[in-house]
Amino acid sequence: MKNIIALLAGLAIAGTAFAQVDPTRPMVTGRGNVEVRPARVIVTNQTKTNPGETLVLEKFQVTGSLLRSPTKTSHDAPLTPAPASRKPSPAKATTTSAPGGRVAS
Amino acid sequence: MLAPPATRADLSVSAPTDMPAGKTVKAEAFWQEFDRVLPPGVWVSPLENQDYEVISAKWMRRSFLPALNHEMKALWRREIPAENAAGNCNGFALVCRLMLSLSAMASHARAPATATMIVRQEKPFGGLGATMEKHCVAFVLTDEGPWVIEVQSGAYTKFNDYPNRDKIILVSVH
Repeated sequence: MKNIIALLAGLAIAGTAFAQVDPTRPMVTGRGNVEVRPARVIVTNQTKTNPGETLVLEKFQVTGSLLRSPTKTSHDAPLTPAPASRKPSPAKATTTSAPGGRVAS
Repeated sequence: MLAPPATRADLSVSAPTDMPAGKTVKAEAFWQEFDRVLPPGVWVSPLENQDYEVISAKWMRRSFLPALNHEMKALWRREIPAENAAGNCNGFALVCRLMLSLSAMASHARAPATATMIVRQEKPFGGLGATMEKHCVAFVLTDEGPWVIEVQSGAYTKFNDYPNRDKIILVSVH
């Protein structure tokens, strides 16, 4: 409970202290709001380009999907990860019954 | 009168309806959380809501993550193509966001304090090895602090323990 109170209090204080940031505009960590020209594509790997030079939008390559069979790709792992911080075991999680409320289909 | 189709194989997504509501964070404070935990230079999308629902960590463990696992395995059984298709890491991270949004709607809560993050997977996490490629994971602000979730396995960790936290490129909230 102390952690919850501390977190919420901290967030409230931070919100007050940095109210000058307009969260409805694009932001960059460490800088706050950034100017973006209308209709300009934001490129995450953007580097400085010379005037007139065409900016190439880097394609987001698909990385290993855990839904694929591990035999199909060498870098994919099976669906049984067990990170140290995870408390419920994968087996327990997967045997949990389906969620109670079907809210979309 | 038209007869119904003989067979249907719709894709569906279900989400738990018991999300606790009431702990909220202002958009400005949510941005500050990103500014505090992310490395400098990470793009953060506009936050279009005034308030966001801070997610109960207890509920995440007991209800949401098992439900997420259930949905992911259901999709897995459909053998959805993964390469250069909707069934890639980004698509599944969006399903996680959708499920959190559905749960929040059912609880009449604010928009959930969650995001999808593009990250360079330089270290293994959640069952996926170090692919050295771009990958997509989910960010959830819980009442125990920010978490990162590998949505395809349901593995999660506190943000400070996320091995690729200094390789985050972009955060999408809206």
